[in-house]
Amino acid sequence: MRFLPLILKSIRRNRRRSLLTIGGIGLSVFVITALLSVEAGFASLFNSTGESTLNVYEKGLACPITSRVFDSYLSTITSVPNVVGATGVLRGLYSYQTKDHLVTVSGVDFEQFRRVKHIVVGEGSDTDFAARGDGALIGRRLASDYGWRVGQTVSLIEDRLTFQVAGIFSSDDKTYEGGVLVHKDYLSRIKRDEGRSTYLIVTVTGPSAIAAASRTIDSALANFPKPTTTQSEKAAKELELMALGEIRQMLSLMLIATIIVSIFGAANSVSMSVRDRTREVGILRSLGLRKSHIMQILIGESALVALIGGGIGLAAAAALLTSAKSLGGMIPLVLPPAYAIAGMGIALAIGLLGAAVPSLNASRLKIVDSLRLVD
Amino acid sequence: MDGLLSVQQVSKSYSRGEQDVSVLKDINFEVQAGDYVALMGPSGSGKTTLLNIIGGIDSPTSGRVLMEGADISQLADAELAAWRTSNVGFVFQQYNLLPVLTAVENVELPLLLLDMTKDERRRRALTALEIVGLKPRAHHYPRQMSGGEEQRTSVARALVTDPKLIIADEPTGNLDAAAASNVLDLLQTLNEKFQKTILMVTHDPGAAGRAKRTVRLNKGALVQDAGQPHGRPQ
Repeated sequence: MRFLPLILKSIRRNRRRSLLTIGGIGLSVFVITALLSVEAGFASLFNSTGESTLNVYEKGLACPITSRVFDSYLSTITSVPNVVGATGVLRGLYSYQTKDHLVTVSGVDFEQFRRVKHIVVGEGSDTDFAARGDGALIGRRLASDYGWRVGQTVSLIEDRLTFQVAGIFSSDDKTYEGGVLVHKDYLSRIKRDEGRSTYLIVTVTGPSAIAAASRTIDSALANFPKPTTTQSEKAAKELELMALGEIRQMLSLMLIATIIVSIFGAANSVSMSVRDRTREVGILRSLGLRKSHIMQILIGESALVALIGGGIGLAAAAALLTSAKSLGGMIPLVLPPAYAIAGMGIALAIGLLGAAVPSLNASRLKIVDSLRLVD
Repeated sequence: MDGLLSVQQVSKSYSRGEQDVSVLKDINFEVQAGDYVALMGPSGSGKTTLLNIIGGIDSPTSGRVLMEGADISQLADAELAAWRTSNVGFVFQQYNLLPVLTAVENVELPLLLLDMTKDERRRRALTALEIVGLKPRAHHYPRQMSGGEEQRTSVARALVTDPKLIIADEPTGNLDAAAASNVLDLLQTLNEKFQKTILMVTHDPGAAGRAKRTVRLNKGALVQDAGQPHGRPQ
């Protein structure tokens, strides 16, 4: 700590180089933590799917918006062996205030829906929701994103969909926590899409019954006007999020490239900084500083620059994740503390690895050789 | 005066390819406490190398350097570093101040290695700057000072740990006549008023004339050791 003022002044002296190094490390921490958080979002989404739950989509259209199946299928499905319950969900993708703020609205028969999905209404009440035709329950995450409160009337852009917030809910299924639940008949009227659902949710007696029930449902509905594709909820979500999964793969490649570039960039920057200061190292050693002191100063400087960069990267990632409502609440985006710590750890590692070899070389240089160098 | 420094049979050679280049050849001389010695000689005669060996920032190929009877050539790197902090103050031709630090921060640098509070460090650094007449410039950066002021700051840094020996390598080499005279006055004051032992390399006979004694080197060998017991020649 006794060398901290010297370290801080050195960072300030090479302002441009320090800023570039901070920027490089910040960018890499930003990408790493943002990606890790998206990964965490995916994981929580998949882990929150029901193990004994099936989704029935229109055949060939496993899309959460464009698929359509008839509600009349429900009576056929409930007669399939091992099926415990079933309900339809009509989905729409809307915008709030601007086209960038997407909101997923699910029209449900609430009594049936809460039999297949665990819903806990915190603020407000489900009674108020039931009493109002235009009532809505808002997912905890979405309410937090937009600051919606119980009693508030909200208008979305498309179809002039307006609802009154009757309650804020949480659910084991994180998909719904990022959206809005309204009465299905209300949404059907607005969308002029009565008697149909985007998909049907079916619960079966257990995970072992999923495969057989899926086959039976699809074959039972094969000759209906809209044949179906039935699969486990987890598989359906994976398909639904396939496009995002591809983005994730691309980001993974970018992540690896970013880390490599950051390490080389930081190492190069530190190496240049050390080379510029070889004479300074000689002066300090002539004053009595030991090799270990020189290492402390050079590595301390690099570590501090890396931590500043890491902090900025983390702040940027947290800001992005907080403001990223454009995914329509499909993926829960938060920066878990463990990932924040990991991000700072990565930044520190970049700084330390980048500084280690050049600092060691500088500290080992003979004092007279260091002093011989002209500025 | 007591014996402070003893240079005994010191030789130094470098390997240049397959050839050994001898820089110092069997140098012997003594320096008493309170002495002021000028090392003179043509370029390449080995003056700076000898000074560096005495200051513990270079090592002899053979021979030894004793400071108050202790052989510094035998000290390990960390011990030698600690020895330098307490026993030697350097004044370089290029001043060698850190540009990112103010004058007082530069002077404080060696004190960071001693067990001392921040206030004590600052107090001692300001006292050293006062001795060299630069207390009003304490918070100026090297770039804001003249060459003479920079060199006086480096003298303050050299004496702040109260070392037994001050080593000055051509301290006036980069200064104009007035600034050089100022720095030489300062070194003389340190020697006469504060009893600091000074070893100075110089090309300037005028500067050497300020010393009590002149040692001449030529081609790595000591060729003359002329004492001037009354100090400054008349």
